Amino acid sequence: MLENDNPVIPNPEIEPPRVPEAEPPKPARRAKKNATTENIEDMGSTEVPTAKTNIHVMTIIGQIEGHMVLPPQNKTTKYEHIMPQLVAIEQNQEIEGLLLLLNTVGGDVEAGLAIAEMVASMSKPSVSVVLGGGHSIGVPIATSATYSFIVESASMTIHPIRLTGLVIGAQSSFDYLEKMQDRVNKFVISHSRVSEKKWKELLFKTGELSRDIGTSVIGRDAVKFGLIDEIGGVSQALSKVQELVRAKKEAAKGLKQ
Amino acid sequence: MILWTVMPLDLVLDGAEKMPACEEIDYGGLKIMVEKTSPVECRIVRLLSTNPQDFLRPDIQPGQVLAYRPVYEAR
Repeated sequence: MLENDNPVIPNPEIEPPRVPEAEPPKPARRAKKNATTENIEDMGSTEVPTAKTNIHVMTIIGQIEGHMVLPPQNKTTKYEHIMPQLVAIEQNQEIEGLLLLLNTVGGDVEAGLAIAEMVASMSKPSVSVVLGGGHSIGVPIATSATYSFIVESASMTIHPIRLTGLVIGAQSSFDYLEKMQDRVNKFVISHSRVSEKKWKELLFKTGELSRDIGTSVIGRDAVKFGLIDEIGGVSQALSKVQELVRAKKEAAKGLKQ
Repeated sequence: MILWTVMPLDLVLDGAEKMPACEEIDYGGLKIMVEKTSPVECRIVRLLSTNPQDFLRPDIQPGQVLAYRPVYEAR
């Protein structure tokens, strides 16, 4: 018999390979779990976000590392990495907003100011949330965002800048320190609702901190003094970012018409 | 350099004398500064890139450990 090369009618002599009957699907325990839980179980990884998002999250944690690499026992935020990231966020068309999560103990004044100035000069809306602590140089970074939140339990230590290392006790050393402090003062006053008088009062208050002069401002007080805009956590911050993004889009539309 | 922090300075600066040395490696055409943690592994310290989008890549964030593996490829 001629070979049947008709793809539609099967060759009668050749039996079609028997397909073993498909086993009834086991009552899959797996099926109920989503990909995220599976990921955590199988890989021990928690890479959760799979959905596309139009905002970026930046965490400012531990010490803000500046001109000197800090020893490895410190958790650090590396400013040389944060700054190009901010450029990328500003430039990337898909990113529309920035969420800053702060839990920092302070760090290098110039590195902190650099991050704060960059966030403040971005055209994309940014929202900061102070969680746990936003101490020392964390304060200007918190105020640099378009809108700032603090959770009720978080605290911000406001205290004067100190010189580290060898200090020559001369008038010029004092003047230099005052200039450094002034840079921070000006930034905070111009990027938040706090008055210069109130800020200086918080900075130089005695009897509040055990080892230093200054103040520990907690949650509601930070809002009352005008340092931070509102009390709130993640959900408030996220909806604020989206609100600011929408407002910016509408403003852009209005300009085009 | 002025450190403005609530942490005691002796805690922050402890061990500053014996920091591991950094070296530069090539990672897919990118220059990266790393510190060697073992002969076949290193930890990323910083990126030496001028492309801002590189800094958003999750696989090359500082602290990420890179493993060195020789592989066979078709000639």
